[in-house]
Amino acid sequence: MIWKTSWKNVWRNKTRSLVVIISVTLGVIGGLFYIAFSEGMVRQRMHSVLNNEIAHIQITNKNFRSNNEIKYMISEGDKIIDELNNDPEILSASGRFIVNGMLSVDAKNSGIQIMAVDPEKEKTISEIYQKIIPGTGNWDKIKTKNKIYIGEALAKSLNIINYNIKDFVIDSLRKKEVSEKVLLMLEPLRNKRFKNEKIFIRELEKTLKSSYNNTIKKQLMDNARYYRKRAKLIFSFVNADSNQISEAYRIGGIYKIDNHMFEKVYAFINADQFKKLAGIPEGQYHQILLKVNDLDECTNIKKRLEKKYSSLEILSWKDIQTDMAYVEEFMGFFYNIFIIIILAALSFGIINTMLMAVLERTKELGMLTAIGMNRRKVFRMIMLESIFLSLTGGVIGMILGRILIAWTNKIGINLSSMGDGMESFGYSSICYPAIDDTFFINLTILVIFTGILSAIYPAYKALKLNPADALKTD
Amino acid sequence: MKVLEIKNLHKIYNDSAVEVHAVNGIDLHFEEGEFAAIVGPSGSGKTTLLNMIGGLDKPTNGEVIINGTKIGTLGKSKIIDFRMRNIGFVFQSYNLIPVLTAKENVEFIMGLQKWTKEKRNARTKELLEAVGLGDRMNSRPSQLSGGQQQRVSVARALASKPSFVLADEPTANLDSKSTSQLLEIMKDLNKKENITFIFSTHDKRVIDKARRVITIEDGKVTSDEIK
Ligand SMILES: Nc1ncnc2c1ncn2[C@@H]1O[C@H](COP(=O)(O)OP(=O)(O)OP(=O)(O)O)[C@@H](O)[C@H]1O
Ligand SMILES: [Mg+2]
Repeated sequence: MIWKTSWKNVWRNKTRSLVVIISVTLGVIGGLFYIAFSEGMVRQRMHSVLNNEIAHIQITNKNFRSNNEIKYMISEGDKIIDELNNDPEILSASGRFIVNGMLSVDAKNSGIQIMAVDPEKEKTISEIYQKIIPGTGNWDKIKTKNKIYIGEALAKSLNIINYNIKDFVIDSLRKKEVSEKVLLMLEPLRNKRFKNEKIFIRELEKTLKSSYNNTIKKQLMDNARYYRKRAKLIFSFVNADSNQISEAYRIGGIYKIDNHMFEKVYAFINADQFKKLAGIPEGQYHQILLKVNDLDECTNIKKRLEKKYSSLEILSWKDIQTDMAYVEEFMGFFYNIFIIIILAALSFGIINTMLMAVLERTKELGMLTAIGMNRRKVFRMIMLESIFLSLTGGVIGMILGRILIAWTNKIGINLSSMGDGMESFGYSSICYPAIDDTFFINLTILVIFTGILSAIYPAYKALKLNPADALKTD
Repeated sequence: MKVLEIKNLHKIYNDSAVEVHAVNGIDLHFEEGEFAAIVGPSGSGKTTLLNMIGGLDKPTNGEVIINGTKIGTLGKSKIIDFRMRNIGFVFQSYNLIPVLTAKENVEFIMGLQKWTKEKRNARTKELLEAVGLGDRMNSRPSQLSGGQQQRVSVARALASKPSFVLADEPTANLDSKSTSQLLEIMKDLNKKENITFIFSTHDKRVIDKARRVITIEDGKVTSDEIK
């Protein structure tokens, strides 16, 4: 009886209740989506950190990290790798060489760090092999002579990515219904080589002026782009005997992850070839990278390895990427604070509406007390009314929010309008919002809690009414 | 059988500068099945008296005894419960819950008393038919006329078979046709259910229908005649 009456009371003032319900709905959707968006960004970043950039645990000679000199090796490398690969808590381990040097193409050069890796084992600790831009090569070429894998950002700055408006590019523009007038304007730029994106865009802007827009830009960037795959890249470094060594490489592939800083600095080559080139003795490495089975155990495993290999430096991803470790640890806490602020705002809306609803019903509530509805029941009726009001919006908001998140998670949100900015901080330009089930359950509890909390004051107000008021007809 | 007894009842309002002696020593008693009107000029103390009888207001002095219970001794929540079980109320207005249908309004107290669904349905149907609204069970108050709404209120007041029904000017907002209809219905139910009705009124035509007429002036009973 009371439940039914409360539910009907919610709809007494339809507009007002709808406004409250809609604002709760929007508040919950907004909150959920914002959190899923941040969580999506963080997860993608985490994924990149753990799978492309640093793996889970890194082992080096104690002097290596501070001096970064080629001579500081892990002397019993092969033996340790074998031990680690037999460790039940460790998924895989792979050794590599790291050396700083200079990469030059024609007149352009850039300071880089070479990662000389085992072509097969590298696949078990990093996903770089999957990140090769189609048309630029493939990972397996690393087994052939002197192939280098560089990042897209480095390829751009070394003028390896060029642009040329060939005939098929014009055709593709025509298919996209770009007007003949614009195509005519492009005429002076046709079949010319532009050494990099910056020059190309500058020329396009100068030539097309106001006709230059995003569709044209996207078409031209995608289609006019070509890679100088035959470019000869010279890598020079100093070996352990202080001799300058230079070696020529050709591009095995250009990789693209969502981190321009990484792409600019790290280039990959074949470890065996490098070992011979640098004259490094058999069985030694600069660094051993590990992946563990259970990421939550990472710190414990690190501690265990530190005891076992006390002469080596052992760092977990948390020691290396302290910012991400911090983000991972506190993000949940920030989400909860954020949600509490949103729910508090909604709660004021509900309290306000319900107080209005109680005050304009003074006489009716007095009448109900007069005819025998006791205080507990009046309290419960008003409580239920507020709870229905907030839960209706809350539940709709959670369902719609969930759907929105699932949908955007599938299609991704393209942030490329600010993408360059994002990627230079290591964040992806396409975000896939995601949310934890535990967080979703927490939110459900918080929404119910808010509903109940905001119901108390109006219900308490209703108790203060005097039944004799019902008989006063003025 | 004595349903209601009022002994030396006083009510003094002193919240304004002047003290108002709204009820000034009233002694009355009502038997089962009475149909009594309380009449008197405006400000004579009718509402104050009915409120004290119904336990909605506390007397300054004196006692109200319902079925042997001195209601002044009951606590704040006990008295609400007591009202629910013993007294039916019909007010001048704001009688019904606007979001509920006629049927649901009549059922409301039976619901609070946890009657079974079958018993509730049967009683509601019986009463709404008795007040001539058998075909309007599912109408909301806003879809009913003032007279029809008051008939629903009478049905609601009788629903859980109280000892008596208190009605403070139940016809004040009604036209003369609805007034006489309502009075006929109240009288019929009074006979059929043998429930005491006590109502206040200004209306000459209403007074004519009563079997007992109690006149009060300045908070005192000036005449009490049985016709
Ligand atoms: N809450 C109150 N505070 C102060 N005085 C009051 C209060 N309620 C009623 N009175 C006074 O008590 C007296 C009796 O009032 P009451 O409402 O009982 O009269 P009534 O007979 O019902 O009048 P009416 O026919 O106009 O309804 C009046 O003088 C009134 O002003
Ligand atoms: Mg009155």
